[in-house]
Amino acid sequence: MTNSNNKSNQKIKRILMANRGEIACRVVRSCRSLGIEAVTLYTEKERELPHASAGDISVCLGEGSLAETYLNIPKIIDICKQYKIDAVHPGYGFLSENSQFAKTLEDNDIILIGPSAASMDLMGDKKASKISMEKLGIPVIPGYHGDDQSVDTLKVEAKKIGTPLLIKATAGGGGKGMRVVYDLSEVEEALESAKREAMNAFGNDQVLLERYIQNPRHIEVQVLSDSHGNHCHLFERECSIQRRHQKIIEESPSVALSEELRAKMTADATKIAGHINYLGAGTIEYILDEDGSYYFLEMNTRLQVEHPITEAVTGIDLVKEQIRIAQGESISFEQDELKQTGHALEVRLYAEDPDNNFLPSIGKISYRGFAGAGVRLDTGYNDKNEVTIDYDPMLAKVIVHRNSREEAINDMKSALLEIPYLGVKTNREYLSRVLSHPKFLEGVTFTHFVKTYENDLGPVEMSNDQKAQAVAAYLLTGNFQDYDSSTASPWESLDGFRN
Amino acid sequence: MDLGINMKKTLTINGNKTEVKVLDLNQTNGVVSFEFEGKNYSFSRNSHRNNPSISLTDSLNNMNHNVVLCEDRAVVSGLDLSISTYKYQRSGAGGAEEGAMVSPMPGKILKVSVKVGDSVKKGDALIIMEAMKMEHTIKASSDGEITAVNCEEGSLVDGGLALVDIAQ
Repeated sequence: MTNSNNKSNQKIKRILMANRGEIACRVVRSCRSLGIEAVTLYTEKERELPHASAGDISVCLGEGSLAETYLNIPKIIDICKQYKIDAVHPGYGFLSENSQFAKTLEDNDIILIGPSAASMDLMGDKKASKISMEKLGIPVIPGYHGDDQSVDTLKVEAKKIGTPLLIKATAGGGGKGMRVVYDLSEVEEALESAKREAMNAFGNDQVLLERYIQNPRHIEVQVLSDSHGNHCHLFERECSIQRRHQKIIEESPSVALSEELRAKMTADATKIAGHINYLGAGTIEYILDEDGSYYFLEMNTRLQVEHPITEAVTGIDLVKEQIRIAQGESISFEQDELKQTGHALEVRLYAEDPDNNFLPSIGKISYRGFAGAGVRLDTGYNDKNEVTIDYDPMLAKVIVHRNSREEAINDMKSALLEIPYLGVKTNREYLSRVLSHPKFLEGVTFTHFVKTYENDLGPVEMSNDQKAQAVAAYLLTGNFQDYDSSTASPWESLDGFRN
Repeated sequence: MDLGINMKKTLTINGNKTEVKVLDLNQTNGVVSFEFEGKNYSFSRNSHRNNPSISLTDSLNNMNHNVVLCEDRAVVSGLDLSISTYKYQRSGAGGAEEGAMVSPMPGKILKVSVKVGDSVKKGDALIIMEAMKMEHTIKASSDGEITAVNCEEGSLVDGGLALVDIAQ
């Protein structure tokens, strides 16, 4: 397997951004900085969104479903040909891990700013990638997923895996058919009751066994690989604060890693990249147990949403590196020159209602606000833009980089006040509640954090003094457009006060 | 210019009807005094009137506060709040006005827990719907009486439809 690309060493002059929203705007910025022209895509309904006009050229994909627009490979290839595109940046999501897209681009002599189709296929198969990593000597969560369901076999496997042990119905959900065993002598009884429960709930009593990780942290390592055999890591990101298995707060460095553990996890990450002859930017995701054991979870063969915190602590622009690598250049730095400086924090601002099961919300942004000094705001929305149900409800990423974790947290809370994204329900308040939680401040962060501290993270009741401030603002700005003129009232005279 | 002495203004704050007794208001000079929930307040505005990011000084203790207000949404000390002039005459179903519980997105109605004439408290579960493969509970935004239920169990609804109307 080689990374010889027939377009290597050819300077990229024009890039197509095969994505939308904040990531399209962000990639365009790096293109501009490198003196490369950028072409962005948009759909009919998105004409007013920033990404639609972010590029030097904007091409409309027309109307229709995702399959007819952003996921429409033939259409994107046609656009590439029509606009003489040298390279395509896929962003994250959409076609970014679609090996068919990678192959089609290659067939059409267009560079993909990303890894080979083979890397995507290998890492896209979660089961096969784990087996392959295990062979390489990378730790994976010990488990048994076999079809032989005899109690004797399961007991033997349980002993191999060790405790605490998780027994889980393969058809399971909602905790049914699930047992945690802390002592191997309890395995047989737990197996019987889990199977009975699974049979009643799902009509299927097949179970799987896995090492149970009580307080897991999500730690991932950024890697970069070029076509000259260099494989570097850019340290870790901790992304333990999640809701609905989606990250909402990320930070780098992780407070959970000792120098020794960091060295081991990053060395394993570059070993994986080297082993699969990776190309471009990728992320190795691990689960970290409280005892310092870590396990390979998966590799994401693309740029991550949370890449800006890595850029903040390393000073490296990952998109520029991706572009340089794609045109056959070497990584711009040496591994031992790279340092983690300060502490970076990212929050994902979503149009959703955290106090109602994180239900996505829609509406028109009446006032976004401005991020203050030293705050990076990666957003795909401006004032008066509509948030619709057609796409992911992420409004923005807010990134703060400071000398210490405490300063980063405080400044993030201030930043969130400056960019309220009024007009749609957002998780802004909720993010501040998490950032203010004593356990978060201590750095005691686990993937079930928001569930564990659910009761502490509920809505905060506003005091009358606070409401009075809103009343004063309301009265003083004469914001009475909802005034019902059919009701006789002296307040009608206020109309004369506009302007 | 002096405006509105001892006048009552009825507002809807977070869905609840609230009386404010305005003692003094001069928008040009940016000063206001009023009685709210049994307490007197006096503020002056420092920022330009048309700026949604509003700087206020509490004249009683000289403390500065920042309030963001745009249309009927405000943020005070990082907390969200809705504020509007109370509407005495309510229009019927179909709009997204205060009092109408609107489907947030297209989906299927799984359960309707209320009927016309029921009294509800803010936060009561009214409707359970399925959208984006998840169950969502539509809760009452204020106390009041149900005046209309515009959907039935099992029906498919569009986003933005007023599912239930509540009169305060």
